[in-house]
Amino acid sequence: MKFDKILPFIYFIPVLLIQVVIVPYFELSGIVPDLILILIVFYTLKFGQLYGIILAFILGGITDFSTGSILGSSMFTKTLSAFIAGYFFNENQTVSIIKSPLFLGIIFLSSLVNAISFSLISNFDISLNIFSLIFEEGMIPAIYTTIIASIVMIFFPKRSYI
Amino acid sequence: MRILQNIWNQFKEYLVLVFLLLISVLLISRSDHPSVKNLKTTTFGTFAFVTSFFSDVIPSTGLKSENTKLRKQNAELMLEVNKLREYGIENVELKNLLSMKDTIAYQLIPAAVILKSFSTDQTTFTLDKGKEEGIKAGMAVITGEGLVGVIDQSSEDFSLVKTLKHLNFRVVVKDQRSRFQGILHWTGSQLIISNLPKTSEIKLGDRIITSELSSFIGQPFPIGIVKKIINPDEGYFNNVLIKPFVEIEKVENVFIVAAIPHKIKNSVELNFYNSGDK
Repeated sequence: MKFDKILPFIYFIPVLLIQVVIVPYFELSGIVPDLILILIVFYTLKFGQLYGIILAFILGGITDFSTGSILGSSMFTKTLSAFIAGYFFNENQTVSIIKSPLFLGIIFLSSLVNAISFSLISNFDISLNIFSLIFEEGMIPAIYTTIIASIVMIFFPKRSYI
Repeated sequence: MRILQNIWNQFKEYLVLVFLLLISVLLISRSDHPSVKNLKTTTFGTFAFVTSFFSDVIPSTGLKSENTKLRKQNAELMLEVNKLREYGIENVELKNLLSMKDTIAYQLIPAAVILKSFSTDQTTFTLDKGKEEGIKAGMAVITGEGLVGVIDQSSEDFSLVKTLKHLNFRVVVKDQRSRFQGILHWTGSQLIISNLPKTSEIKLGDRIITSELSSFIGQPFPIGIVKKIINPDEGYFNNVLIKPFVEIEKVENVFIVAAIPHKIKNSVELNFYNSGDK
């Protein structure tokens, strides 16, 4: 059980590399899916809200350091997203949630919060209106991340190794 | 103890969340990224609007004593103004004789402090005047005693002042007596002029004023007096501790100096300063 909780930190390294090196090739009008968020939401649903918040804070911090974005921005947004995802944690239904469409709904919601808050911090423009903030900066990245998460869900092994 | 345990058990997720978000916000606030500056401007503008409402409604407790003090100061200043007027006339006549041009033009805009930050190493004030009154980043903020800081950001109705007691505040100053120049900064606990040559003739009690060499404060505003000279055994430099004239924590009303010290210098240096905001 204790080793299980260290696993996301190990998986984070290749996920971060993919996010930084490969994912930019799949950008659509400057929008990219957030694989790190999928990892965080997944483990938040597996180990609970408190674990998810701390995990998100640490991974967000490493992301900020390694990508050169505003220090604290990913920490803030990922922590907030994990907190929201954590509301859907159910100890007895972990696997069934992850394999159900609800997982995609949670990913979408967390990703929406993540994208909007990240946009507010890192691209804040005083002329930004609420419509473009929610749709262009929030919804579209969230949908893209959800689509990628659905692929992860389809290929999720029947017997969980992660 | 049991109550605390219960609170922790019941709200641990919320407590951890708040704690971690506060750390994140602290880290973000230290960033000089333009979008973070924009966000700060909008946030403090909105927050200041709410605060100004309350500060208008709730009268200041120290208002009466400050009024008395101001009346006395007013009388003293009136006497001084009379004397300076004489000097001014004399100065104009002498300048005319020497064919020199007066390049200093400024006006004072009164403003009230409606919000103060509580950080000891990054003291900032929010003022109730903004771009609508012509307030721009880089303008000096003073009281009757001396320099308080400079305008860091301004929204339409409010401005944020970076005070002397801010880690990022730097200003070129000089000893009024010996004319030695140095850079004044706040260490988090002390106001200090660092790296002054040991040969500089600075004495305890000397008046320190801003230097005309300063990029955006091109006029001699009083800063404070020399409190202590730290003379290390090694090295070639001294550090000088300054006791500021203005008690930053007690400031309630200020003047913004809408100064253009020198038009050419201003267009080069102030624009360069402003370019950091974009």
